[in-house]
Amino acid sequence: MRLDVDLTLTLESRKRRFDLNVAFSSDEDRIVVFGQSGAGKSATLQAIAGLLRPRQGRIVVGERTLFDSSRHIDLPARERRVGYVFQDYALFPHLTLWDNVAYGLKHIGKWRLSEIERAQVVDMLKLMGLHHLAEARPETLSGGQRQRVALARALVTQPQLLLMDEPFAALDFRLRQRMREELAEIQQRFAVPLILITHDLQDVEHLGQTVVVIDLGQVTRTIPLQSLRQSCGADTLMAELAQLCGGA
Amino acid sequence: MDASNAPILLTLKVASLATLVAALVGIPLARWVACSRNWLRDWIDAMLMLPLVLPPTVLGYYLIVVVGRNGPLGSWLENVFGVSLMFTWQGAVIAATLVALPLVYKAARAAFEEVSSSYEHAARLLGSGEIELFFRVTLPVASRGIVAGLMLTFARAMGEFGATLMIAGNLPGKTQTLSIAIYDAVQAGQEDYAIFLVGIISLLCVGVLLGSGRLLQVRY
Repeated sequence: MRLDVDLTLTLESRKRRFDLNVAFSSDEDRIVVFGQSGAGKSATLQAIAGLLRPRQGRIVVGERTLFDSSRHIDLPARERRVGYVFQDYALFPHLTLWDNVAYGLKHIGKWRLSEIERAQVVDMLKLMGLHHLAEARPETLSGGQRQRVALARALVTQPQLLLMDEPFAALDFRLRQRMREELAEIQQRFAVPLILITHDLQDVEHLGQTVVVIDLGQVTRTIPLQSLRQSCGADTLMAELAQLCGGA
Repeated sequence: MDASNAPILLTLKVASLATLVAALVGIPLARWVACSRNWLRDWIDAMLMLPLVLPPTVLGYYLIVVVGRNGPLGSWLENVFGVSLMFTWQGAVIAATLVALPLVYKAARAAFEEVSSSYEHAARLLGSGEIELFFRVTLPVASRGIVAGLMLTFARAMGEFGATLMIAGNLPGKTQTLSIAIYDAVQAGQEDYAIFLVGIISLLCVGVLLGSGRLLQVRY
């Protein structure tokens, strides 16, 4: 799906002012935004989701315009149909796994799930290997399980775009590799375009099709990883990437 | 009704109603203060905390000025409905509400501020509007802290003395609450009755504190 992002925004707190000016576009389904912490990755993701409002710019996903300052379009976050997996997963602590996953299918005035929706939740829990934990609370889960719940909760609403904020940062080294593979599989299965932000080159290597490098609030490079993979062998890819991404 | 139990029942009634009113006023204001950037916010916060530091007699005096027969609210009630809050148990509810309000407000504000904003963001991205996410996410996540605060509010309302005495007076069977009855009993030399009432209120308060402490221990 075609993705166009072009946004300018200023974050101001009492102590500092941060200007973000980010533009990238891609036709590929797995975009990894890479940069040091403080480079503006999270703000970029939040602006795409509608949690931060750009001063100006355009965000287009496929045929849908989520934001366009020149046409005064600014869809609220709840209408953007964007799935978001937070760095801390943000699972609702007062709800069971089942209710966490079903959250987005219920609304005030519509508390009961239809048979189809019920089956969707069951399928999602089974797919993530969490079906036996449906009645458990998030606090009892391991890091990998929490991430799967967060993913299931986002995917069950059939988003048109999936955003992930440093999804593997909270996991230990061995789990990280397994979750990367799982994520790649799930992304393909649901055919949902993914934007993932990270400061870990391993994520770039394993998941990226397009890599957007951000530094100090600016895009310094957009790298089509597929062609890079073909031009250099597997063993030199990491070294090449490290160089292109600024050795970070 | 046994006359010796009257102050206990009256106190439970007054404290329950005062807790309810304080919750209805304090919780929405706490939510507003917790997420507002309005310049009025600090002023509202200070006003809501004022009853905690002012002597209850000063609050009682203010109440007389406002709801007394010559006060703006008092004379309006008198003229329109022909009622007066002075020397009624309803007046005692107002006094107890005012004195206990800071406790529910403070607890609710802290509880709301502790709710991670990523929960609310997550709810928005799953399709919830602001009102829906308040009732489905923010309030339930904050509920332990709020309930613990309400228990303290109830305990404080039960113990209210100064402001209640000034606005509701000391009419046995009508406005005489526990703490006022204790004062009365001691003044009249009814040691046994005073000890009985002191024992009851002490037990109630210890129970409330144990309960609220337990609620606050379990954290998400």
